[in-house]
Amino acid sequence: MAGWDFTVDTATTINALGIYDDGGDGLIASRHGLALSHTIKIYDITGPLITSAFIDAVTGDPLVDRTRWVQISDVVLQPGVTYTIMADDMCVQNNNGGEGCDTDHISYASGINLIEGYGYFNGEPLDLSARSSGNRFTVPNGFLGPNFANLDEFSAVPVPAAIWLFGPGLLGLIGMARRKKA
Amino acid sequence: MKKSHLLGILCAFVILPSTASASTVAATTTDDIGDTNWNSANS
Repeated sequence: MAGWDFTVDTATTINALGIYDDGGDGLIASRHGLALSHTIKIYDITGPLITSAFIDAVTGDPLVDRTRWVQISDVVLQPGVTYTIMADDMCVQNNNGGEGCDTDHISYASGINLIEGYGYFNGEPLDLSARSSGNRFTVPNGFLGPNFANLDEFSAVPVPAAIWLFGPGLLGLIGMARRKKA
Repeated sequence: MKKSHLLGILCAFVILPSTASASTVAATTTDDIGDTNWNSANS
């Protein structure tokens, strides 16, 4: 299990949770991992579970920025709150040859602030108790395993609004064409 | 204002909303985990 604590600068809507999928192999991990599914959770560190998702291995879920994503209902993360995102069966520091996290060359979206990463070797439940009792890692660049996003792929297309604008435009074009003919 | 101008504005209203949005990913990396020792365990 692994995760990282963070804050946001402004109210931030997210619609996806994801897992770092090194190699983009659908988490089958030909080089670095096992055929593992994962549960991903975001908590307010004072207690409330904000959102969660389950991602199966080799499901063909969208792969964006080396992360395998699943859709969630829209959630708005608020400034002034410290959150933590965590996933099971994910990247602890050992040499088992399993699925990995990335610890280098990580950059964070504007307004997303990493506080600290953490991980455990085995047996911990995927909840706040594990976060507060286990190993904390102060990797300089972060600790990327579980991830969150607002993805266009999962956004509802505003078709009705487009139609309201497109309709009059089309009528205008037809009108102009008729005038030209006359 | 000419009709062609009005038409242009109307088209912009149709096109822009479909292109303005962009995905935002919290953490990104250009790195391949390669030979690092950060691996999984059955937790």
